[in-house]
Amino acid sequence: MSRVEDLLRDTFREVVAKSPATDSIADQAIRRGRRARRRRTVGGSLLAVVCVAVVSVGIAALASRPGSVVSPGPSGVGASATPAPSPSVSPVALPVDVIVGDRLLLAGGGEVSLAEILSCPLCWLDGAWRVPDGWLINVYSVSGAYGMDKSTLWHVSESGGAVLLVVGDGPLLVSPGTKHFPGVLVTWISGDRLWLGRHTNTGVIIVASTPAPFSYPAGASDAIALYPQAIVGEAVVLAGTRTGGGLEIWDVWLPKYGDYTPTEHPRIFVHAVTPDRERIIGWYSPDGSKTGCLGELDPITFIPSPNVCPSPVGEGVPIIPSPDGRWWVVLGMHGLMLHKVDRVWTTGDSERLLLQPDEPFAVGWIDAESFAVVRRSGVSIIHTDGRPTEMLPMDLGDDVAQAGVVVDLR
Amino acid sequence: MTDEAEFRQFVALRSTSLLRTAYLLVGDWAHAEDVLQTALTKTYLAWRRLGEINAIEAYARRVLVTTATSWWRRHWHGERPSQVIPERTEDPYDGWAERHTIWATVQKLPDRQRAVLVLRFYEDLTEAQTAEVLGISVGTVKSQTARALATLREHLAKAGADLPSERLGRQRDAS
Repeated sequence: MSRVEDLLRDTFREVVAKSPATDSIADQAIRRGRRARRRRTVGGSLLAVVCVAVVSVGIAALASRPGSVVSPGPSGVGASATPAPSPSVSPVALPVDVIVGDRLLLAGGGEVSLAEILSCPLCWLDGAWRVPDGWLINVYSVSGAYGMDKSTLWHVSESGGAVLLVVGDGPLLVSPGTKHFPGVLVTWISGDRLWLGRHTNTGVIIVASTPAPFSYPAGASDAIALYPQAIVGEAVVLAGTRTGGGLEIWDVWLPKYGDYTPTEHPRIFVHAVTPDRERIIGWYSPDGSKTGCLGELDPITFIPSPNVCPSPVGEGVPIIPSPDGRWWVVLGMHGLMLHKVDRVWTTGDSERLLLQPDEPFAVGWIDAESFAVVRRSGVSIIHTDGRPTEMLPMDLGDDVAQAGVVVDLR
Repeated sequence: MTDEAEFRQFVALRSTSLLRTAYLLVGDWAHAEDVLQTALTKTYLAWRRLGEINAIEAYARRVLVTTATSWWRRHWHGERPSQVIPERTEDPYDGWAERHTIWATVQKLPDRQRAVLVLRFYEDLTEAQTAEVLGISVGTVKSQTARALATLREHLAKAGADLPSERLGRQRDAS
């Protein structure tokens, strides 16, 4: 062994001799893992209901920024396309499109392979939406430490072929439009900018952009990167984490008024957005308590109305509102719960336990009265009007660990 | 024992060692903790699939190295800062200057060369094991190791100009 090798060993031993404690690192990893699993199981079903286009807003230039957006032409030139998925026949006629593993199972029968875009080892489905000419599929990749994860948004056409539309740094958000921003919206960070775009049949068109938002909280040694959490009314709601243990810092960007300007906002959590896309269904804590309250929050001021205290759902719990807003499916710590919304605001405790969380599942609304639960043993259709649950038996096995109910945005 | 309890036990036993490896790979404790936490999150997600403890440890180490490599690719904007250097002791000729030079040079090495050195000379992996963790051939491990060691020798020789001549002579003889 050479002297330089000895020196190298000594140096390595010496520089790591005083390593910091790792006491809470298991808890943090488990929390992140649970969040990741929730992403896998919930899929994009947080973003329910069909969007309503009311007002047209100005459209900026066609997106063609290298490395951030690919706008495919009619011949696919300039697009990143995968081989055409091959439709095949599914034995069960589902009431809604469902993704299980790397297969898109079509409502009414048929199936499209998504293996080309979901076969990456450290990535998972983060949402799927039906659009007029195919599907948008959001794939989230854990490729590094905080802030380094990537999202890719793919368009899969009915006739075949997957085209990469957007590559985002960190989470990417697909949202139904609002009164102020109609259409199917996409917002993501790429390079040093936050982009707001609209999906069209030719790709993603940029509606607005701003320098990537950062928060500079007192006492923090570094600026905190903020990522889009929801598009509500005329606001893009942003959040970031200082510790990695939760989203502590919240703010809004109002694209119609120019670049993002940091503004002091209280800590909240966006459980969902109301079906009219005007209000946040959110957790907030007026007295700093951990239990907090639940309210419909103004998307700019975060002022709640109506509200209920204490919150019947914990911070960080996803809520999936029905298309008419009368019901919530809540993916709580105690299982899958069904809440009647008007009673939430009056009693705060109306709920019905539907499923224990000891197996992976995905949930999504089929219509205003029914929603689907995808499990290992098949797809259950649960009705809110008292009709008995229907079961479509399928052997989905462990593939259901990556499952999502496709949200119809047509 | 539940999966979570087993995972906690694994982390309790191995996290300090993995954190040290992460630090050697990224050169900064805060970022090393980020990298380790990401690697452990991925390990947690794959826990049931991995099964045996040997497979789990190998997986965790592989993810740690690839995560650290990703971190470099994203955050590399120039020279890496040396946050902590080996502590200087009373005797100026006890090797402190050499170790300082070594550590400063290691932090400037290309990511793969640095990873090879950490796995070979800190983790004490064989060339074959190092190749497996990094997903490269044994031949590449050998060539990357040789290049990295040559760079270290070169920098030691340059730094050695300020050291007493007899020490320089010993160093060159031994190399």
